[in-house]
Amino acid sequence: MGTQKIYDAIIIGSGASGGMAAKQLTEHGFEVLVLEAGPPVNPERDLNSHKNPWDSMYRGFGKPGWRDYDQWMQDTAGEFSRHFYVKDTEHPYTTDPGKPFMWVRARIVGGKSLHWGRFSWRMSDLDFKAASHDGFGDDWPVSYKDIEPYYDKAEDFVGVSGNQDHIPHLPDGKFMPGMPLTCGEHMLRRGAEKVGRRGISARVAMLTAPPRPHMKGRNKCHFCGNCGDGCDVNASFSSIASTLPIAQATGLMTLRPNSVVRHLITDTNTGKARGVAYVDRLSYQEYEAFGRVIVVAASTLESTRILFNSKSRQHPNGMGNSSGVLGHYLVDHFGGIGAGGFFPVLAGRTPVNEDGKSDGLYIPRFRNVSKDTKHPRFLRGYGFECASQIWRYPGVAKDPARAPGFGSEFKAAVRRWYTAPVYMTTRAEMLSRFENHVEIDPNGVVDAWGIPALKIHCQHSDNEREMARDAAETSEEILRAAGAEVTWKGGQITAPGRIIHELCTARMGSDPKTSVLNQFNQCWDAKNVFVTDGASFTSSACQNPTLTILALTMRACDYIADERKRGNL
Amino acid sequence: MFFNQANKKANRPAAKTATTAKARGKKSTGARRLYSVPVWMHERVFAGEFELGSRSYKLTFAPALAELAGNALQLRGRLTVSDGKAGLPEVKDARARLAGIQGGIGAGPARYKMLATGATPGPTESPTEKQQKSGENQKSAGEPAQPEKAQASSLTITENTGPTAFTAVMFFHLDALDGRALGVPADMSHVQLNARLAPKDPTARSLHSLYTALTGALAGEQADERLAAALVRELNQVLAG
Repeated sequence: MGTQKIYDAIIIGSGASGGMAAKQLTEHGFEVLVLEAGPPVNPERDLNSHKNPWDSMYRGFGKPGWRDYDQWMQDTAGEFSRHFYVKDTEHPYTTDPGKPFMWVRARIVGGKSLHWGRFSWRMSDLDFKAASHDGFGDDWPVSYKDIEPYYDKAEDFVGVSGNQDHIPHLPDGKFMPGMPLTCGEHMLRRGAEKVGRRGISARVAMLTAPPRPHMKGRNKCHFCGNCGDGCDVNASFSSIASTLPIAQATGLMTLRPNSVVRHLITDTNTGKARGVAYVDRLSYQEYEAFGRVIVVAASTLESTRILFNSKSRQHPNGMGNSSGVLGHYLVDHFGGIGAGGFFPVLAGRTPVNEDGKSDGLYIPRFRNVSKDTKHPRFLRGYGFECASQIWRYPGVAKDPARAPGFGSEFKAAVRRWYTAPVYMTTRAEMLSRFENHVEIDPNGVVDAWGIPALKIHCQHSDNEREMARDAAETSEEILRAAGAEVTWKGGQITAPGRIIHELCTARMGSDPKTSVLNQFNQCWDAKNVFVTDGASFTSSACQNPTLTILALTMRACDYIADERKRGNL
Repeated sequence: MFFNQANKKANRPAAKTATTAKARGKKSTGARRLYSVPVWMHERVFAGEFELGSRSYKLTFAPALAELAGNALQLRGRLTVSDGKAGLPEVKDARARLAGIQGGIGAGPARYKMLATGATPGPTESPTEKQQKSGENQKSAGEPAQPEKAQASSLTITENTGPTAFTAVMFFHLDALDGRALGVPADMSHVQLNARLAPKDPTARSLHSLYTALTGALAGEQADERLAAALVRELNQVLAG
């Protein structure tokens, strides 16, 4: 057998975490191979934020039936963004009857960073040490002080807009100017204050000021408002706009798209990983690649699946699973609960150019943040994502109660209410419970490449249901205090997975018997394997997770570089 | 640009080694193995396509008989593969054993009504309501005691659970097929049918609700062997037309 090339590191995945790992490790002088399961991106073809509905005969809704036909679980895919997402026909997973899970996946260079929601919140010790606060679950093995320097670095690198809001459990950071609130959002903020809640501008990973020197090729956001179809001016953070170009410029990165990882290859002498076995997505040809360090960043459940499928004599239950907790403690934030309506006082006013910004008002968590705010029926808390703006398509046009009929009467009604909508929806913590878990499907269901698929077991508990009830009541209370006419309230808790914040299935911890990773995202059972995506979370808090994933990845990569210098890797 | 893979280094496959199926000691027929075929339900028939190289093949599976094999649903019927030319052989009694399902999210089928009794099998209340009526609670250590028992009606349910749950996909494993005999240059010894239930016609809609009830009776929270057997009898009536 000829000489095999051995990379300093192999990185599985090119999304937020994988891209950041590529940047960090190449800057540390590592030669890395990035394996991405999906195709490469052609920006001119694939990033469509400036494509208009009228550019398509389907007006942006897509050919009738396409979603039912092959992307029924890719809920956020649209006509101009569906190529970011997997085809469910090729990527099965199973659930038990009556317990659905929506697994939204992006297999493409850049991963979900191409279309993510961009909310960027820090977690605090209320979250990292949540178990110490309320007795449920486990604390993270890190504190805010450990992660704070990496939040600083991540925000500075990514470019996060926001304001200094001085909320202890939602720490401030190094922000670009916050996006201004619309008139309706100011009204909603005042309504929230009337009932004792704070309202702040959303913090989002979008450039609201001229790019910093390291942000080559990026541009200030011009609020076109169509971020989910792929920002083609690189105002929003993505791997292809930010991390991967920097890694590429070092000359130390090899990026191989269409590389579907089967499993990690175990060194039978040491039990460490020595490489990765993968199959070409298009040719079905099998390959192996070898590396001294393996960074698994394929997204929470894909990373977990790869570890499960990496069985060997040393790791009979999968790589990193000597504790038996791999795959367990699955969570997803839940939404679907809130209220919405209109501000009558804003109806019929002359439209002003305040549409297009991507995100609006955020009402941070206010339950169980202190003894005074302890709720008698549930633990942890939730925040509200709120907005009073239009974006591209006025929702009222689809509301026959408010905009009935057709022709001039319909148009007049749409114009009247166009300027006045308001809504609030939750982002709420789901308790990280052992019984919510994934496993390799016990009956042998596989994907299109013959790789064993996951079976997902995930349900909400009374804690989430009680929280949802509280959120429904509170959102209506705030809207009414703001002077809104409430046209809908309550809702249903979103099915697990729908918020696309699945986390915790290869959790970090202080004890190898109860966790998969140590505090540096390093696998207890194979010290050259690092899991840097959301699988590494110990609990989810209620904040959107990507900023924390980026910070953890930067920290893990610095640790990898230090350990290599010490000769430990 | 890196994302266009202009970098030749990036285009080059990583170190290729002797890791083909043959080298790994896997059974090799010299042909690519076909792992799965997505199929959709049209009336009573599952139909789909797959590609091998530059050629496209149509596959249909027309179940004529349902039975329980152990605790799993097994469908038997005619399986055909076509490459657009006439005369490819068929398998008259192909067997497809249900290996798993994927729960659906969104608008599901109407609840199934038994042909024999008109009854609607399956959950009539959300898991929360059921749980609260039975006095169970999913509490773990550290959670607060509930001084005030919540009223079932006031707690929010999760979408597509309880009475709105439905099956979106059924994954079947076919008995080993001889690809060569079917005129397909592939190893078809372990083919999985990914049967998507997104019906467009009345028969398929009816079958969707029946398959949902049946998979729930087989493996749901309210699994019920007798109900499953009754639903299989009804399924056979529908399959018989």
